[in-house]
Amino acid sequence: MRRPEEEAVQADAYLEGLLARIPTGPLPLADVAPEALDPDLRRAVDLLRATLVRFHPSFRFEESLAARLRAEALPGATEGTLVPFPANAATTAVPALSTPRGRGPLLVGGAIASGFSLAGAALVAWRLARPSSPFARAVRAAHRARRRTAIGRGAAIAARLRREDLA
Amino acid sequence: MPFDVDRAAVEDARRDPRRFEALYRRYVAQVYSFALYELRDAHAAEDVTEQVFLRALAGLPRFEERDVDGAGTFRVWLFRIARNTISNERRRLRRHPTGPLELAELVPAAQDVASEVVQRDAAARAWKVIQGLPADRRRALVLRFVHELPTAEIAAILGRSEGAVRVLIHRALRAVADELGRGAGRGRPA
Repeated sequence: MRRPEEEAVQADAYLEGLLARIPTGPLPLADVAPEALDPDLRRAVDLLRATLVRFHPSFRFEESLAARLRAEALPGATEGTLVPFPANAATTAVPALSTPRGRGPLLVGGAIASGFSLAGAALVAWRLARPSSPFARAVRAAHRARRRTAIGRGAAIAARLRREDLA
Repeated sequence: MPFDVDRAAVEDARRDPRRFEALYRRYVAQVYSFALYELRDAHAAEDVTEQVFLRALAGLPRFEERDVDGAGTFRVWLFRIARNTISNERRRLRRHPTGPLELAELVPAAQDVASEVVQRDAAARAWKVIQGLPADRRRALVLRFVHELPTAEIAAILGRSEGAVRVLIHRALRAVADELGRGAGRGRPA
């Protein structure tokens, strides 16, 4: 019976021989004779060599952690950066938001007028875009005829009254 | 030839922390895989990986390379951070246990279907044994087989002597071999 320490050294040498060769599977061993090692132990080594593989994290995780590390690696990333607010508004490139007094009503009036103009333009455009239907044309013709009839009737009554006055 | 293969990258990263990405890309799969074998949960492994690299980035100015048989390299230092982070995570998971990941299911399929079935069965039994091993034996085994680290580096990561690491791995292998032998015995006709 071999001593465990001796067998451990043999197993280590056998494994070293396996790891020195890149491909997995049946391996010709020159460094350590396979029969020098217990067959069960050798089988265990071969199995673990073939099945204990290295796992890779997902691409998404790897890239997200890379981005986080890049952010952490930026100078002053852990402390945070304070940007001083400009004390003098005149030195900033941002235009001032305050308006001169008296301009407000003018602006409101302009906006209302502009609104009406837009609404009118929209109505005209809508009317022009809609071709008149036969029904609409008939309604307008009837309306015109009634006006003409009313005017004619009024003119006849006026002429009769004039004739009566003359008589 | 430099003692630590990562020396140039480490010096770059010290000068400009944005260069740390090169070290990250080189070791992210190893750290993640180490965590996954230990925690058997993809999300927990991702959490640990993130913590490890954030700690490494923050602690890089304090890292000191020491020429003691490969024991003071950046990789050893990184794996020590990983080992400590995983230990903390395992303690946390014991308080909030989650479902285990069956790593044998993820083993790449072999070409031959019959041998694949046999291999998967053997791998599943081996993995069951590995799960039940004491933490140091399991870690030594994973670092040796998955990450192919030399015994000296594993010794430095685990804080043991090289001889002790060889014995840890041997005992782990013996446990797996015994289980495989029992399985083969069950398969044989009486």
